[in-house]
Amino acid sequence: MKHMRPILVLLAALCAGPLSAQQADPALVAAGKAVAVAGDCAACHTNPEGKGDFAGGYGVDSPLGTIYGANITPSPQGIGDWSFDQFDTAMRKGRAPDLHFLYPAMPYTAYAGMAESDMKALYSYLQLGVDPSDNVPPHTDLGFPFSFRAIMAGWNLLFLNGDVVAGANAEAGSAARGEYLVKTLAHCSTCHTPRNALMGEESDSFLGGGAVGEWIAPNITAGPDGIGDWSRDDIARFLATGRNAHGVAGGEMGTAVERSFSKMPRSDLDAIAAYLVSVPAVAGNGPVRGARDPASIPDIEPPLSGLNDYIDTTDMSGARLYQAACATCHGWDGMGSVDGAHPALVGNTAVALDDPGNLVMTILNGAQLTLDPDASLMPAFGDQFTDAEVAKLASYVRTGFGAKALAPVTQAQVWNIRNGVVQTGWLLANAKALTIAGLGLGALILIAGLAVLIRRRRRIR
Amino acid sequence: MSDYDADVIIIGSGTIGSHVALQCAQAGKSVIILEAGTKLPRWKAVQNFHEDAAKRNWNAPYPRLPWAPHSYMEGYIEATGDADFDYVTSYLRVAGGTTRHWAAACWRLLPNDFKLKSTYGVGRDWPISYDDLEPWYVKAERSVGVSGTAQDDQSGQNRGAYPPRSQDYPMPPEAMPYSVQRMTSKLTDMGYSIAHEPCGRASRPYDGRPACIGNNNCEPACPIGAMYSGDMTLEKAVAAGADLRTESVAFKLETGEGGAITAVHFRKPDGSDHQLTARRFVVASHGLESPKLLLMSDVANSSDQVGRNLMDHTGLTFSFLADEPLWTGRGSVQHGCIVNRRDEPSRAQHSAIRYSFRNLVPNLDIAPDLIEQGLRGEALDDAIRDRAGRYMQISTMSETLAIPTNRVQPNPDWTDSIGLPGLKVTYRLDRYVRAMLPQAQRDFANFAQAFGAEVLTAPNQWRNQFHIMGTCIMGDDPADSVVDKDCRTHDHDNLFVVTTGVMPTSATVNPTLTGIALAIRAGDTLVKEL
Amino acid sequence: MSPAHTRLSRRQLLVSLIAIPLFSPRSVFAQTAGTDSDIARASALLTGRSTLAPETAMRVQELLSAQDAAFPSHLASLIRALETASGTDPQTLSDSLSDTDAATALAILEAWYLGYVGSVSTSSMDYDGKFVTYLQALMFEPTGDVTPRPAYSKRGANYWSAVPEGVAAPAMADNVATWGLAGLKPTTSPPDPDPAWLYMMQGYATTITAARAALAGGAAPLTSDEVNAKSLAAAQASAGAQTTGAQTSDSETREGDSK
Repeated sequence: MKHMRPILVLLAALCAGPLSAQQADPALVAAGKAVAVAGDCAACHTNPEGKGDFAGGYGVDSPLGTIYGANITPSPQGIGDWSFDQFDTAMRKGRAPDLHFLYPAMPYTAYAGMAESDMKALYSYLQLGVDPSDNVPPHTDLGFPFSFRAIMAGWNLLFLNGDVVAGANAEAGSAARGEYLVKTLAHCSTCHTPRNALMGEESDSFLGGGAVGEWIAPNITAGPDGIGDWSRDDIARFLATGRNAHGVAGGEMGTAVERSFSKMPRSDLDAIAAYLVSVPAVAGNGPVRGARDPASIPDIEPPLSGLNDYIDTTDMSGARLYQAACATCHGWDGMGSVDGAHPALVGNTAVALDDPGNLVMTILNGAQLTLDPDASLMPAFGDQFTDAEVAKLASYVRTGFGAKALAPVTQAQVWNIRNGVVQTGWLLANAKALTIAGLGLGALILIAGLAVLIRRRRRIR
Repeated sequence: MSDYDADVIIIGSGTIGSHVALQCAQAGKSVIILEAGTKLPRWKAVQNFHEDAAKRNWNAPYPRLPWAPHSYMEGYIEATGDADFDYVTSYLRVAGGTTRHWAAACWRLLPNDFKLKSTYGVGRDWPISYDDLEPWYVKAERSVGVSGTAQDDQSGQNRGAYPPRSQDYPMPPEAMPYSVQRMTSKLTDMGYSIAHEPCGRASRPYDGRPACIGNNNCEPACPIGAMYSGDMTLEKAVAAGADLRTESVAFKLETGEGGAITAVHFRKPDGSDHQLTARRFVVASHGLESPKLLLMSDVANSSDQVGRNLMDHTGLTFSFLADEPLWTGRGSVQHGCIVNRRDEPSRAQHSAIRYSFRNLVPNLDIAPDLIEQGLRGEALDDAIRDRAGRYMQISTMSETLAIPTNRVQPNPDWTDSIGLPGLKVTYRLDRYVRAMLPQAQRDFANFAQAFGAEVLTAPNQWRNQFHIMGTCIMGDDPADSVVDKDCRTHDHDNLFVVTTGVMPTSATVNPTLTGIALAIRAGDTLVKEL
Repeated sequence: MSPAHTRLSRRQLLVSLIAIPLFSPRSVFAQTAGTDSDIARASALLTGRSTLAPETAMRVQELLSAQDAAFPSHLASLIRALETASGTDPQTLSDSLSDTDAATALAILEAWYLGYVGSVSTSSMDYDGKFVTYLQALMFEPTGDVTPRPAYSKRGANYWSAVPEGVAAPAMADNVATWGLAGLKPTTSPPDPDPAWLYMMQGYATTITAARAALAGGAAPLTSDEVNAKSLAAAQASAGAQTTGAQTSDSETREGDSK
């Protein structure tokens, strides 16, 4: 195997490195690999078009500039010189050995709760199980005031809870093990818990739903606004394949499923499911329920007085656009395929969220997860529709298959989503002026906001 | 600044022109694509299909443009020929070309198909061999996304895995439909060799395309884009920098000193004329439109072969009711075929034949008769179900030879809305084609017996398969061919013609993949020269 | 040339080419759109279905009226006949109709089953067929559990390899569904055909019973030479120009279909 060679080499040269014999135990390295998968390290530290696993350089656009994942391979350009204690400090406190502060794009507030055994395993894996790379990722420069990383110290004081979460070694598949995974490695709350005014997670709304760029990270608590109607098997299947009867994983969740959840042992997915069904219900941020307003068949066939125009599309209703582009797979009635191959839109979370981001993003980019080679994917429609057409289509899908009460989607909203314009708000837009005016607190709030804003990928040409 | 409007101008945005454009644009060359038709998103074609009365008319969902008539526009093609055969062909003039409504069969020719004259003493030889083209077949299969199995004898001559391939297909075949299982089960016993039909349909997610889910609507429009169509390559070419200009009908190539082509003249729907210059010109406008443009321009024709040697796979169709339910219509429109007759010694005497199983949902083919017969209510519904279940259709792809008198010419007696001529086609079936009839009848009789057939349509009516070849024929000798082995015209160093019309032999398989392989190869030549 | 100009020009050209007489004024029928209109009641009785959309029934009426100005009076006659006949079985009702009423019934039934009125062509744009419905076209209903309404598959990839619903599959080799050399391959050459089946393929009979009867009566299939001679003679019959769009006639073989 690819990763065995460095292990053997390093086992022979143990005394030369910072590792103890115990840390070089192949079983520990293997366990560390599993931790790295569960922690989804590769999502930010491996550039799919780049120079090898964990070699960094993956650029994530943020409204403030591009942030590049670091090289975390065992090379001098990576973390090859780091001791375990230095690694542990970076993972739990967000501070690198040269004392610089990490941007909270790195979810150290979640990793702070990791068990020491997992931390040691991860360290062993990154030092011994990964090919060293001398790649030097591009420098991340967000400009003043965000280049002044020390402002993170204040924020850390407020929101960094260093307590270790129990359950790392609880019974396989148990809710206790699930709680540990959810709160630490899987860092679910990073996206799924709403943020307070200081951009810290609201502890009393744990997993009650948040936002990631254009995407909404829905409420995943066990109530009517969350995933209370999902069975444990539904949850585990969603994590394993990115889809179930209720919806499809898109955006960052799709990436997380692809690179992390789908590679975790089934017992850990069962554990997460067992825990999630016990999370106290939080209200809000869930799909809107209520009466729907689907079109009848005569509505979606051409109007009685109309002659079909073979080129012009300006007069087409949302219902007819849906019929032309979507009904093949999702059914003219939004009920999906009879054998479950394609999801129903009725009851689908993305369709019924108040914020249309997930629906519009899915129309534009498709649902491209192909974990199961026999499963279908949804092609991208970004090149096939104008913004006005997407707006009409999305509006129809929301009211026809979600709930009548949902607001129509506007062409401007589609344009913003297509072009990656996030509603960053007044504070962020005026950060530099505020900071110069001495409102340092504003800056640290804003920089913390990067934790949620930067995880946004552009897939639209 | 350059003295030219572009490094290369490509006339035609179908899959072949788009492949040349993509090659050149990716290499950093400036590319202009002229397209007579308009753009039309896939979903709009689906909606047009949905809302048109003529569901079996593959051209109906596509734009009907008075300045760029397609082959089904009344009067556009005036055909002369045999009394027992109507020349009909189907092609589109739309961005992305006629692969917008093909069935996506993606065959390679057999090695003998390249040397028909030297092997069987009939027809012509190509100036290149199968081995010469093989690397480009690989590239074409990857670009299109072809599902197929390398472990099959596509020649039907017990040659093991054949023809030889340097790379496997990019995707495995789709599952075999029940109807083809029944055909295989019964006909293999009789001695027939059934092969998978390699196709440009994704059998699993590929290049952003979903796997085929059996919408059974390849023709006239795959609603989900599982099937490859030329607009997909066109979009990539445009993303790579090619400049697509639609509603621009090329009507004249201008020749300058030394025989070089200096400009292309094109007309807009409002009748205004424009021209563009380039270092190289590529005519990739379909097998009938390309020779029309060359003839209208009086270029590339010192051999007098432009527009001549028109070939198709003119053949026969047998539809019947089997004595058991087969249920065609589950899956795509084509999956399997019989290959025994593709490369037999009898090719010296008559057409090689391939028998293709059509797999259409047949309700539209059977319901009108049942209604007219007076069946009503439950009796009608029961009869539709019974007959739809037992329906089967088998067609021949029959080889035709390059005959100079079979030809296409501009027809000045008919003009479109911008004053450009229609097409005049002269096409007769020679003895070589007609002599396949006894062989085909014997095979059809065996198929009929195997399934206890009740005849719906006997296989005695000739019809085209809409595969145009020969009209800009390729050869080494400038005296009897239009382009050389690189698709460059013998008469003009900077003029290339890339279309299935360059093919000197027709073989028994859909020519598009061969055309795409030639296009990628021509693109490589252009990139090296520019 | 401005884009606006292009657009206008194109629109005008398109309309000049494909404009078809639009439907008769809607107001004539619009107020009667409901399940109790004549056309809705006739449609229900003729198809034996009570759930047909009244809006689509009105479309049928408008299209047929545009085709034939006398359709409204024919419809009135038809509905009287249908509602005075005894029983509700569509076959019985239809069989009891006069020729005129039967023709009206046929037009309505074709609209509902095929989803269009008028005629269509597979090889020309010169047809007058008008769209009625696709999602409600009744001809797909009897097979809806087995095959899709084309373009609207309701299932996922590769479902088609399974034995179709309601079919008792004959025994087949284990590798029958395997493509390629690992699947079934022949061990013999195809045989000479049975003369009766060959006779059928030559177009002289549509059923094997008829073919065997003919052979028993002294008929014989043509030899290869005779087939070739007949084919060459047919090519010469009266060669002349045709225009694309002429539909291939297959009346010779279709006759036997209506046995």
